[in-house]
Amino acid sequence: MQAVLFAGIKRRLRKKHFLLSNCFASAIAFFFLFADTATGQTEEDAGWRISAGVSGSYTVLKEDHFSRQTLTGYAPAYQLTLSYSGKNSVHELGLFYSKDILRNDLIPAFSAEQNYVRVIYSNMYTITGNTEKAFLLRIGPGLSGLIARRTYKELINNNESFETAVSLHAAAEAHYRIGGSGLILKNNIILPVVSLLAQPAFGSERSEADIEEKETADISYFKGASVGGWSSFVLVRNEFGISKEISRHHALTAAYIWEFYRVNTSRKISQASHQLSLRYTYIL
Amino acid sequence: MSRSFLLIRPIQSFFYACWLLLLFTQTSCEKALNLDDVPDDKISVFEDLWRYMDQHYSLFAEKGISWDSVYQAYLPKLSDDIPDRQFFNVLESMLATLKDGHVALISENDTAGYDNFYKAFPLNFNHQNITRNYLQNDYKTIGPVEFKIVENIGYIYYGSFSENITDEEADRLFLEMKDTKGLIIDVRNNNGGQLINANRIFSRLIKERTLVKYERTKKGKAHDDFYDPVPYYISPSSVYYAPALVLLTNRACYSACNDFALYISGLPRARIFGDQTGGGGAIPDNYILPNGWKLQYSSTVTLSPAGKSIENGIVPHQSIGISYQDEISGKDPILEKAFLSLQ
Repeated sequence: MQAVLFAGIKRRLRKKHFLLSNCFASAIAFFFLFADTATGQTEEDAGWRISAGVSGSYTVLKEDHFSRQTLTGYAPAYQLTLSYSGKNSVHELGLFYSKDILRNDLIPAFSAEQNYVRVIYSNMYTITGNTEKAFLLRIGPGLSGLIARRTYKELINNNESFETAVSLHAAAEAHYRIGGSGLILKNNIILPVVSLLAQPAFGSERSEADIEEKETADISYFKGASVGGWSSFVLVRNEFGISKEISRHHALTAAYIWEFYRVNTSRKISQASHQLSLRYTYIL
Repeated sequence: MSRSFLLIRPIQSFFYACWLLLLFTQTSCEKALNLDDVPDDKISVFEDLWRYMDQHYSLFAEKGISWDSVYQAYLPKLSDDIPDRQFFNVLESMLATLKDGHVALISENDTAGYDNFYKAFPLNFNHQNITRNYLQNDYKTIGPVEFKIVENIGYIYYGSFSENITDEEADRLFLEMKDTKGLIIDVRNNNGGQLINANRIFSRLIKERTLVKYERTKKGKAHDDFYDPVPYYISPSSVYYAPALVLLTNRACYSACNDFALYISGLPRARIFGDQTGGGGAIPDNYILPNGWKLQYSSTVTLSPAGKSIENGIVPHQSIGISYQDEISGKDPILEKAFLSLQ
């Protein structure tokens, strides 16, 4: 369903995909805004929660090392989250994975397959409000990791791209509980503060001989490692969604996630990802 | 009505605040990412090619080329309304100024590359003469390698490292040679291919892990901005061939073959006979231009263990050529001298 909706809008809005994502955000919010029929739990109780979700993802990628043309594609994305809510704080650990097949409309032969994994841990403290009140704001530090690997087609010898990064980030989360409906509007944003980026000088561990020559396998993974702030590495993630606790132990969340990613090295990479996500949560 | 309306108002406020924040940050971020496609008109493609090479090509400093001057010389030859074929030819000419066999431009219909690294020199090789007059059409093959043992001296011909030899095949090859007193390895006309094939042969010629070269990869945009040289080692195989060696080379020994000649030049028991190799020490990389044409270029610099670039080839220990008279009479003085030196 999501794919059909995406595909229908793609042709008209390909170059203005941010409008597309805003449409989704608006649609989700307005739908739940006027859905006033739900009942059930209204509190976000302390305790453990485990969530699993799937998203329809639209990704735009540009890796200047291989071309200044962008690659785009739709793919499913998956996420698994474990969180613990205390009285004044919440610990959240999330694993996110997507496998994108990206193409260029003008150059059909130019395409890439991308595997993209993120691990995000945040420990946020309640700044204002509490679980009894309508509005709640949490802020806190966290640590996130990223592994991205791409294989480009139609290129010889060097056709791979890889980077891994660990970031100390700041996370903020705002909740708004809608009256007695059991619905919670939620926005969560993650901004990196300082990052360690490792990107092999040749884009991968070399595509040929070095793979077998173990002695040289350590040559470049961390050769190109660097520590930096926003000038070298940016990964902003925002999730805007609405949750509904359908019973004491079960909740559903619909969310729009956008993620902006830029590696500003000689192998400059820019990526925007828009996801419409549906997530199930089991409350222990 | 009033109660539900009052309930909705703060929700709306919250939502609109979030939505406006989202719209603002998202729009700004996407703009900053510059994710729009680039124009594919001819001037833009030329500019993109020139800029990309300026930032990524690894051999400007070594070749002493003023890329700015090349830009000034070729830009006036272009306009947006010239035919694609003519445009391709202009770019081909511009890239030919680099005199680099690893630089190529590939369109849907054409491929332009530089091959004067061997065509401008005597070939010094005739495969038919060897098979007919020296191997006498009586030789064996293992994988891509032709070989024969004559008077207890082994001869192997590896014509292209694009054709893979497996570890098992390499072991079999050198086990065939184990009782010989010397070995001639002929890599003339080997234009390169997969370096792993060169490594598989070389790993049977060493007893211990050996430093064979250094590689430098471009780091930044400046022509001389490189990462530190990275040492490249090869480990020995379980099969070791110890006797003397002679490597036969010519100008068409290029790229991975050039690396192989470098490896062999580091073995004290080995000699290189023939002509200088064609060079091509760099590792080729590729880039897609905005119009879909593919650019191939040199992205690294390969250095010998002594720190000297091998881009211009490996000089043989003994420079020997094949004259026209030799060739038409079916002789190969390079092979003959190698054979004599091992007797």
